[in-house]
Amino acid sequence: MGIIDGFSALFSSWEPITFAILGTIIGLLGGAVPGLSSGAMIALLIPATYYLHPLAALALIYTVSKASDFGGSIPAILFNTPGTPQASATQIEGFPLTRQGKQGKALRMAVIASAQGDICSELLLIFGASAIAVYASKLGPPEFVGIYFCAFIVIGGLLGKSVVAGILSVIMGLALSLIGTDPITADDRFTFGIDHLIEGIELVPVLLGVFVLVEVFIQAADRKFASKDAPIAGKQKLPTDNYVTLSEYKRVLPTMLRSTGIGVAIGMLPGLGSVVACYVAYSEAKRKSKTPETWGNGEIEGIAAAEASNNATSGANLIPLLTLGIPGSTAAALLSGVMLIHGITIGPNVFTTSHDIIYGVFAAGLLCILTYFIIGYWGSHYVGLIISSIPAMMVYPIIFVTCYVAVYATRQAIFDMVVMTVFGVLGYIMKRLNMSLPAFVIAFILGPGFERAVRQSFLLDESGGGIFLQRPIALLFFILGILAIGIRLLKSYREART
Amino acid sequence: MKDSTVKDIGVALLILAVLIPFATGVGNIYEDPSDPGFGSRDFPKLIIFIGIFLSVILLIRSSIDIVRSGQLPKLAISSHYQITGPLTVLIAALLYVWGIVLFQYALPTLALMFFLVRYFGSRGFFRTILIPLIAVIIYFLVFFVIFGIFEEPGTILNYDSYSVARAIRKVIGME
Repeated sequence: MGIIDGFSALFSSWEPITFAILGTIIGLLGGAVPGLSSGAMIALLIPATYYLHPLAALALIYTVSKASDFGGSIPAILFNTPGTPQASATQIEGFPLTRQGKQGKALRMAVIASAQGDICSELLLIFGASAIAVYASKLGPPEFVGIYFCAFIVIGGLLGKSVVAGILSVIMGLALSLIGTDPITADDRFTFGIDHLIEGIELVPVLLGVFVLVEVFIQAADRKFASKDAPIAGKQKLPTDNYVTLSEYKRVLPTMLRSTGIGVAIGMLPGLGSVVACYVAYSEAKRKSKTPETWGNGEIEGIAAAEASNNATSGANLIPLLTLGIPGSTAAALLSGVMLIHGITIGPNVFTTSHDIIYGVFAAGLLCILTYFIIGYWGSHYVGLIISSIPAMMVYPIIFVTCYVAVYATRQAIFDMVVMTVFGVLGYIMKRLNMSLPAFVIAFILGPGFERAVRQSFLLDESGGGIFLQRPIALLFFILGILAIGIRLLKSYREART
Repeated sequence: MKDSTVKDIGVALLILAVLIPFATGVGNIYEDPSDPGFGSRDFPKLIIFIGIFLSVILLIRSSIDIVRSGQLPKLAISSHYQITGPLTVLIAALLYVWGIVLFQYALPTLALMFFLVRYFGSRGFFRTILIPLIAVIIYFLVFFVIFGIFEEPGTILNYDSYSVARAIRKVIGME
């Protein structure tokens, strides 16, 4: 059984298990630091993964992304400041509970719902992804062209605030992925006379530039680091204010399960993500509630809905990556970057070519849930105290300098520092123009695979593109992509008219 | 004039600025005329064409909005920090990279940390002097001692950090 092999691989040496637990702690603390996104945190750790065993590297990145989903809820509940965007729905019900002196109950509800949603999602990933991958491994280049097309359209159209800006973000990512060598003929192209570009643009400087430097530039522009909200906790009145009672748990269980389903379904779709999931689940739970008038004043059911759904996306959004090779979220894109760095080919064959590593990552995911549950249940308040003692004005200089030292460490090339700076500036301009940075990075990573699939399809076909119409799965994905963009454009048109 | 119109113009101009060098370089790609299917130049041409086409459409649509509203586009900047903030950090970063070429890692890193913590609002000996110093030492221990990275000699200041790192590795039993 795969997951047993995974646990064997995880416990085979000290390195993978240590980095899985370390990743959980980093994710928990980093997720709880307002303003530091999980994407930035993961990108910052990528250079260190060069020096690790592939399983340890992937376990570190995966557990950081998982734990940060829960970590973000701690400052949302305690300080009315979500640590991550996906914790903003938790804040609506969590902070009023803190003001009533029930922060212990709110934090424990958050960790119970997070762990429950996360486990369901992880089990689906463990037992469902390999089954889908068996089927996906039989697909040929034309089907993959259809899948890439659909993914680019959906990711470009949905991840950004504007459809055209999102699609153009994808085009920009694809264009920059052309730099280097032709994937079929291996001839140089678009190197503009710079020898360093012959092997293409390195992934690490791009990720650090786009996900970390951009955040520092934004902080320097917005100057929000000087303000700090003081925690305003009320006084605890009853012992039950500090934990979730059995009757409360039974009352919120159906909501948690429903929200987990919403999170899993949304998480599997490329381009959507935990922010969408938590708001959909929160709204749905409020709509179904018998007492919707109490919502907004500290309803634990709201915390359960938001947290179960946002954590339920974390395992599910790896399904498109591991079955089709399509990273559907920022965390999946960064994970795919680490896989590429370690020579692990992303896509359906990963379950056979890197069986132990992939199941080892799943095992690390389960260990991560257990670890953050233990820390979160008994120690969230202390995490809150640590976070409140870290001044934001110190965080950004440190991560900025770390970026430069870390990017140099990957190849010992000053050129990579320059590339990272260029991508930081480009990313900042793109962000200010409402373009989608995750869509840009996903297209940059998938660009060579997309080009290879397109050119191989044309080699199989002598009718000049007719092969895409003759293959039903390819055609289905083309139609899905066109439908997705059509629906989004129609929605935008209606919004503009009203 | 909607803010989105100004942003759309910006998006179109940015894409054109990136894609035009690609469009001029596509002719330099080696292509074997006997290659079947999609040639070496065809995929880049397709991406460049779609990008330029969508950017031009965006520019035309934005121009129509401008003509209809009768107002010239104006960038909505809420504070001068939106330009000076990132620009200051960018200049510091570029000077830092240049500084590493001239003086190697330690001095420029200390200077950058000192500048940034002050720029981001920290004051006092502990935050502006001690923390940058500790950070530089931690970076050195992690990246140079543990990961064993090697740095090129600086053109002005030249010291052998690799030997220092090796000596520390020997002391702590890593070699």
